[in-house]
Amino acid sequence: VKKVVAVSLGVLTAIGGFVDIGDLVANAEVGARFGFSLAWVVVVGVIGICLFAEMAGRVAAVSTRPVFDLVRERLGARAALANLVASSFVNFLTLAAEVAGIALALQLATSVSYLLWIPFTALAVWLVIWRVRFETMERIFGLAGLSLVAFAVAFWRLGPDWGSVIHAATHPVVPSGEGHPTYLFFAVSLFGAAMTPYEVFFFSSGAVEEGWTPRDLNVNRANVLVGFPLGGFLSLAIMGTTALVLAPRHIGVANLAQVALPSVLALGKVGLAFLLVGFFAATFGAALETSLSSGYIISQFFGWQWGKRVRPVDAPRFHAVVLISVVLATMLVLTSIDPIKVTEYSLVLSALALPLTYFPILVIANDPDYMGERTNSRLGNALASVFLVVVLVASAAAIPLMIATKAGQ
Amino acid sequence: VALAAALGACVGPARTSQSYTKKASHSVQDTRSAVETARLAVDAADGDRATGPYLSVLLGQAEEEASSVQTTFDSVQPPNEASDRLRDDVDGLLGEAVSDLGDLRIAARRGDTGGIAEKRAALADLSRRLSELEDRLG
Repeated sequence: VKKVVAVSLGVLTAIGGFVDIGDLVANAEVGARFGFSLAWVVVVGVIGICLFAEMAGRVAAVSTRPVFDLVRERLGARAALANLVASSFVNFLTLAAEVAGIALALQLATSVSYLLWIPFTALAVWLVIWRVRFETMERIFGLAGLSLVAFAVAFWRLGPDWGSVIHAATHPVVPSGEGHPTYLFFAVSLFGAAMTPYEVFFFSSGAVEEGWTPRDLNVNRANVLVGFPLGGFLSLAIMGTTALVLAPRHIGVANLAQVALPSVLALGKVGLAFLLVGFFAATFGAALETSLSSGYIISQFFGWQWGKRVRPVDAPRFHAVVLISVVLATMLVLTSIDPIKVTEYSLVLSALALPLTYFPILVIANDPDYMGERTNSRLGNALASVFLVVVLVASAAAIPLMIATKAGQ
Repeated sequence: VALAAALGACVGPARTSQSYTKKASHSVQDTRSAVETARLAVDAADGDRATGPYLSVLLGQAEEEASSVQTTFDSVQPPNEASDRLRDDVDGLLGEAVSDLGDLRIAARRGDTGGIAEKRAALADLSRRLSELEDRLG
């Protein structure tokens, strides 16, 4: 049991980071439009986030300081400020989408409009951050999010032709009726979703909150190797269900109810109940991660006292940033802006901001002043360098592809 | 974000018959997606595989989607008289879809599974006609 509990930070980070509202809809949409031909992006994204999250966790465990704190110190205020502005903006949009996502999950359970749920969900997010212990929070939402495994069960129950599935996933082609730019736009969006910056900020700050030391490097590896591949597995399962049921009927995915539809047909009301719990937990977990990440990076940049464990009276500015983030995000979604669109755009902007997050992590993970003998291995650096090129290409292509395809239309 | 939202939301004018036909084809395609969603919802309701609130939301959103497509299509100015005829054909079918999806949403909110099941044949026929029109438009 202790070993299961030890990886709960990784599970929460991955459930919240990999299968938040944006990923739920993006993976379902990709499955319905492109079948299995973009599954490779999820695999590439999982490898990339494992590589850099392991570095971020190792940096936190060895230096006992979170990554963003060190970015400012090592690369200077100007580079850190660019990172801060880009990451805060992406965080804000993602938080808005997650608050709406919780409300959308409640709407599916009750048929009461999501707009009426939003104030209550925002209040609940803030109350959990304020009152619930960090470990309790990560265990409840990380483990409840595991009920999204219902997607994998549904995929199996739908009886796929495994040979065709594997062939389609390993021999990707652009489906007829879809252009190459649209295919690439969704590839960049999925990659941005897999490597969203808040995941590493939350993971490394969470490691400091949990008091990791060099003795916890195995826990770090276990968190990374269990949590993120699990998130990727769930992403593929979501993609698979819509590829099997919605794609043959030419159904485009535009809302959360459609994401659940193939699994509902396969598993009935029990499956729906599992999915609703999973939607709620995953979006709630992501809302906690993004709001805390906003507090973490802003406080770490300005050198303020920070931490969920620290009482509001001792870290007033950290707690104020978290509260203001939740309030502003709530105000944005209460304008009745389409939350699904907000999150889709946040994925693209996330892809744009990736180099600002991952390049500094690589620099610090190679600095012996911080890492001592725990710097990256040659193999790790070689892989990370390849990924940095991929990250740069995705970042450069994100906006031109969005304009060329009218955001994937 | 504003730029992206504008990109996603804007409906450009149709200056030629060709571009008007393309917009018509996209509208028919999107409406067929909503109708096919409703057909799966009927399957789920018929087998008692989904809860009332879920079906109500799913069908309400399918209706909203179809209605939004129709409103957007209707706002495009047809470039010539030949396009007027196309507009009538497409608009008639889109209107029928919105009406059928509205009936389903009402039945779902009343918990009337019999009323939902009754629409099965009508939806299949509507989907077939939308598909034929989509093929004709290319």
